[in-house]
Amino acid sequence: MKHMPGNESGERYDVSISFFFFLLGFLTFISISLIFSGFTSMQDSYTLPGSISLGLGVLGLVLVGYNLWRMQGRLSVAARGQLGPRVVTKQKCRSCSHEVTRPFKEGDFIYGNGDACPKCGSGEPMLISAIFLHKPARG
Amino acid sequence: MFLFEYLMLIAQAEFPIDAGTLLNLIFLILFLLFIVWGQRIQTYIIMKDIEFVLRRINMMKDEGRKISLEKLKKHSSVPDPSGFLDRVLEYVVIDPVSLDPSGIIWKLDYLLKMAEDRLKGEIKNIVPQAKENERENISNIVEVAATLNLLYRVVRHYYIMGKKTGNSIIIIQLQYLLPEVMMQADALMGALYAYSYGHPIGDGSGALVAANLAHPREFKTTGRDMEICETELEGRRLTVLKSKGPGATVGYPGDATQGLLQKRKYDLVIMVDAGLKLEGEKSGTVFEGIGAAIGGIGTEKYKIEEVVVKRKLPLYGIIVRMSIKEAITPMTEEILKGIEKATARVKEVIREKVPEGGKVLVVGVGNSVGIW
Repeated sequence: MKHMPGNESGERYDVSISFFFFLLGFLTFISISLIFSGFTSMQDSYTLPGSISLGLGVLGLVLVGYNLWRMQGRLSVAARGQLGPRVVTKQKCRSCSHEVTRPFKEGDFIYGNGDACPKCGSGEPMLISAIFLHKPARG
Repeated sequence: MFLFEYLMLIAQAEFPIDAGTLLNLIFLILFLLFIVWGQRIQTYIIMKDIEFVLRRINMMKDEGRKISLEKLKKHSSVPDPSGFLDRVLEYVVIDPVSLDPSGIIWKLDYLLKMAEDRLKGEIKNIVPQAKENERENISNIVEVAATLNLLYRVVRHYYIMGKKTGNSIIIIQLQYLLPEVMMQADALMGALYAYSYGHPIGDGSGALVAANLAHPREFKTTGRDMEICETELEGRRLTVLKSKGPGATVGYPGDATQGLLQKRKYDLVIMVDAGLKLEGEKSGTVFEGIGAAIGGIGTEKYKIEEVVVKRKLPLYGIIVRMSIKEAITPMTEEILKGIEKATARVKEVIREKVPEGGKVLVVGVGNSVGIW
């Protein structure tokens, strides 16, 4: 879905929290089974396979705990992800056509007056030719 | 080491049943559990999904209120405008009766204008020192916060109703709507920040095309929240209309167009607006059509269609595609490129369809926030 044409942003709005918890539940069940099987193996003196099962089971439970902790963190900041969009202001000098792009400042508007030109120093404010949301290049 | 010794001790202890029997027993219990309480468990899981979305919308709603309050406090003449804000966030426009639909457009138009006047008037009383464009932005911020508030209340209503009645139909319907609700809430959050800073938004595409056509000439105020500019394009006379900038307003292009077309003669009317794209389509692409390119509740569209049909005028629409989120959040680079293409296309259409000496009316529809 991420690389479908027209979905360049890769945004998704499906709420998959149930599936996430189902997976966590499944992992918990497997981990408990592994711990239990590890104990019984150790009881039958299969110390190495028993320890491996036990270790994997404990690791599974740790993973479940970590994911729950991460989920809790995500829930508390969910609404704050939108803050600080990278909006930039593009200015063009009326005398020398030199273009300068800088972060947006409150009070900027398209076809309004910008800063003084740093190149020709004419003193006349540059024309704000565009204001847009700058998306950083994907790595 | 202690832990290992402890585990070894447990391992050496004798269990009454072996692992296989215990696992079989667990599976049997789970099987019976899902047969008897399967639906209840499913409903419980869905309720958790809804709770998650409800918590997010609640945070967004609180953020909306916080931003509105900060903006009001910045220019406020009263020490604490929170009482005023809480009252405004619950304002509603009561739909006119539609049993006899004849004349409903004018009733709706009147009610919407009255609602806007009331909100703007009250905001003016609270922030008398603020400039006009700042007041327009504050009005829009409050409107967005009110929409988020309504969204939260509606989702909460169905959530509680589903919980109270245990009605899985209500709960499942709500769950199916959650992605769309989230998409809308997310877009509204973007709009909140855009209006708060005064960023131009995607919906301003039509207004920016109009500003591009008029530049470097200046616009003059005409009618209610609208601006007009007389310019020329290779011997053709252009009248360009747009909403009043740089404050956040969409104006009343229907009234302005109707007024102009009743007084003057034009050879062609072109409307430029932002249009919602279908999923899979590229943002910023331009398409054309015949008819009034204008969204909203329909009152403005009605006025334009009425006068154009009476005058038998050709009416062309040029539309820049974007998603609902892009329409109300800061303008992206793709949409900006789309606006350049739309401006070029408007000029091409004028050259193709109108002879030299002809007159054209170009209506740039959309919100002029952040656009002169």
